[in-house]
Amino acid sequence: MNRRQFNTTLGGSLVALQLAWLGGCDRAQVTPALGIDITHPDARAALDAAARDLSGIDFLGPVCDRRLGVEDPLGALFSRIDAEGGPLLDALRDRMSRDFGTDDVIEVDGWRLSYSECLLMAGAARLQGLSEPRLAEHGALREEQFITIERWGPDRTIEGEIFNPIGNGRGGFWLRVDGEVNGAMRLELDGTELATHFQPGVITASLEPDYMDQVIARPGAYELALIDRSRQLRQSVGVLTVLERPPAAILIDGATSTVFCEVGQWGPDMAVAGEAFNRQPDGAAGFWVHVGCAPPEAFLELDGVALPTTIQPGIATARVEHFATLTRGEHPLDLVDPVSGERLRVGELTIQ
Amino acid sequence: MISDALADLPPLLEAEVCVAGGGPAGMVLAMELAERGRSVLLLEGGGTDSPGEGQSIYQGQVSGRDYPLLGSRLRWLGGTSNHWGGWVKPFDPIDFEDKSHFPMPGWPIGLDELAPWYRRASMWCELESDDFAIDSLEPSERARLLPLPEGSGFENRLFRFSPPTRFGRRYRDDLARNPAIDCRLNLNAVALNQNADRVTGLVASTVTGQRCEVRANHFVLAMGGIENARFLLNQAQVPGNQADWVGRCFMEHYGYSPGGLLSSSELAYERGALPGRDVMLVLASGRELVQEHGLRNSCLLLNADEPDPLLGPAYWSSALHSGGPAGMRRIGMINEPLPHPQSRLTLIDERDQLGMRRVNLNWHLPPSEFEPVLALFRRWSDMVSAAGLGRVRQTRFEPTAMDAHVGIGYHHMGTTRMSGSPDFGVVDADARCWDRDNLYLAGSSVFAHAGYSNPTLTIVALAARLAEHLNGRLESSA
Repeated sequence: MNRRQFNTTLGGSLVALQLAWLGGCDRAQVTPALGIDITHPDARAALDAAARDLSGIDFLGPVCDRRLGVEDPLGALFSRIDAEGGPLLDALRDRMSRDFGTDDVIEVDGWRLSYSECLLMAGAARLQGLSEPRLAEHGALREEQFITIERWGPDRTIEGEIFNPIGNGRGGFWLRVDGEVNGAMRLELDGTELATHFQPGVITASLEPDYMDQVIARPGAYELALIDRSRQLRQSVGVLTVLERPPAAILIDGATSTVFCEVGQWGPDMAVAGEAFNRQPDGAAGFWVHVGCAPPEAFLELDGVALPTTIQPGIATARVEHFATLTRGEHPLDLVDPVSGERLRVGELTIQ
Repeated sequence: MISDALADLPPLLEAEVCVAGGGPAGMVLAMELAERGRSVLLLEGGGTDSPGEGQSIYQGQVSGRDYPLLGSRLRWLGGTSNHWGGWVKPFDPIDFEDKSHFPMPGWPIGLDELAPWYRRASMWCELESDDFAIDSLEPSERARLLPLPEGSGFENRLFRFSPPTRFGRRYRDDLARNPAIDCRLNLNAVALNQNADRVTGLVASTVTGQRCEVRANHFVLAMGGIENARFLLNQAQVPGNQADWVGRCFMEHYGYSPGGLLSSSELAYERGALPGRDVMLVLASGRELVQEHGLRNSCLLLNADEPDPLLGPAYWSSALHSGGPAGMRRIGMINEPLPHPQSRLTLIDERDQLGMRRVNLNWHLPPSEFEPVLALFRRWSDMVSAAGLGRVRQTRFEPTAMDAHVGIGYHHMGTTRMSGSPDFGVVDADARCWDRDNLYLAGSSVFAHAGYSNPTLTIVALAARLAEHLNGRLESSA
């Protein structure tokens, strides 16, 4: 028996004794660190302990064991590493590195492992009782707030209305985020993965036309979630609400509208001459009109003057910059769709 | 000034320089020349928006490996910048060099010659910075890259991103306001009037058949990596074809996804990984691998991926390895193409609406072209493993078959290559046709070698440089 074998045998006995004495305590408290000198009597025990702690090898460990067919894998590994002294960890890393340099490599389903590394995995598998290769299961995603979502949208649409349209029947979501993004992140709507794109600070995702049709055909709530597949994390973003489509509006000529839904409340319907009604931050006047649905190109028209208009699900708003020129009397307010040519009377603004 | 030739077209147009093609190269060239006080006629075959049916002028046929001749090109003001992803990086020094294992010589100019023009191009492409050195990152940011050992053969390299600049939209008003620029939309160059060593005029046409003659001191073709060659080949006397190189050496950056890397999850290679910076890091071949080992200047992209079912991230998190959080990265490669003479454009009998013969592209990218890619990947894999930086799983071992999909960048390059001798190219170091004193080519068709870097920045840099050259010639001839 040479000095190293003697030390190893002795060290192993001492460690076993320690473990017996300290049974029930956290194993990490008694695991000799990998920084131990390789010539130390406890070095082999430290290697065993490290092998016992090795995770993520449920598949490759048993495969290495079968492939190599070595009686004592960890013993074989220990005898391969440099006995000249120095930390065990460095010796192990150096041995693996040299394996790659000399093409002493084991390939398992595309994984390239050093021969020594495969010995370690094989020994670890035995110590951990892993006899059959087992694929790692991703398991359930873990709920975690892994990124700050500053704003996102849209959060609602109306039955049959493509939300945030981007052409070709597609539409989608945008998220303004603060934090690192990576290519393994995906937005999911109701569990369906969306085509997801990244720009610094912005994540966008689009729904294929078929899926868009499916979603906007069914009023209800759809959860939007951000998934990071690389870390198996899931963060809820919010809910897209598909509102039931209100009844179609009746146009001035008595026909049923093909693009507008019924108008609900709107305002203001009365104002004082020369004063900005529903005054906006920039000093202009403004209208709001609850309308069940309206095409994105639609605009409000006051007295035949087109107003700068914003159409959102359920509401149309418009700025009236020429409020000061409105004279006393009734001023018709219409909602106009330039594509179909339909005109819907909202009501009349009375100037006093 | 911008006008529509379909609405108004005089029989004769004149300028000091006529630029045919309103993509990034043509637009930047026109604006750079105008800034120097030169009058420029800029011809754009399309309008200001998608031309619908007009796009079919780009229809052609392919042999060899499949290629989307139509979908990869856009035919309106701004050209292919209208679908540009915005990736930006200058070529590496090695990209300009001769390589003994390449079938054709390298560029007759080096990176030093282009460096000031890359800075100028960075402005046109609206970049945050024109510094592409890894040292431009903070030490804490560099610490999130793989610490490549001395002599590893690989280097970390940095891409930046343009917004991306849609040149047509971004600079349309500048063209319109500039009195030195006469930009004619829907007007296509169809023929050159030439004598033995000069172009004496150019014939331009609308798709409806209205024609005009163009006179200029100098003519520049900036129609795109395929159209430049197609236009030349359509001429009765083909300029620059003294050695039969027009249309040859078509190149395209091609992709390959060989596997994945298990390493520290702190690595910050992909876009968005470094907060506050719009950059992407890649691992690229060092000079020695290319020149001494006969490999290509390809790059590897590392993007976060889901855990591998055979070897979990916990393995790399163990004290034996990183001791920190670990994760999988999907590896993608962008590969340097060879300028292969068989990879070429030729004309077919069928003609387009302008009467120009359509093109056949034989993209010569046989499976053997993937062997150096695989060899490079294996070398990288061994380096990373030996250095203890991670473990690699190779999931593809075979070259991509001829009938299989291969990822491409829509980068059409090399068909009117620049060369140091008329025996090996179409244009000289100034981008002037070897046998026509006043005919120049702009755009990626002049690329001699192409590395892995996206072409737009180099296209724009060359255009800015060409403006300086043309201005010098016009000054000296005044």
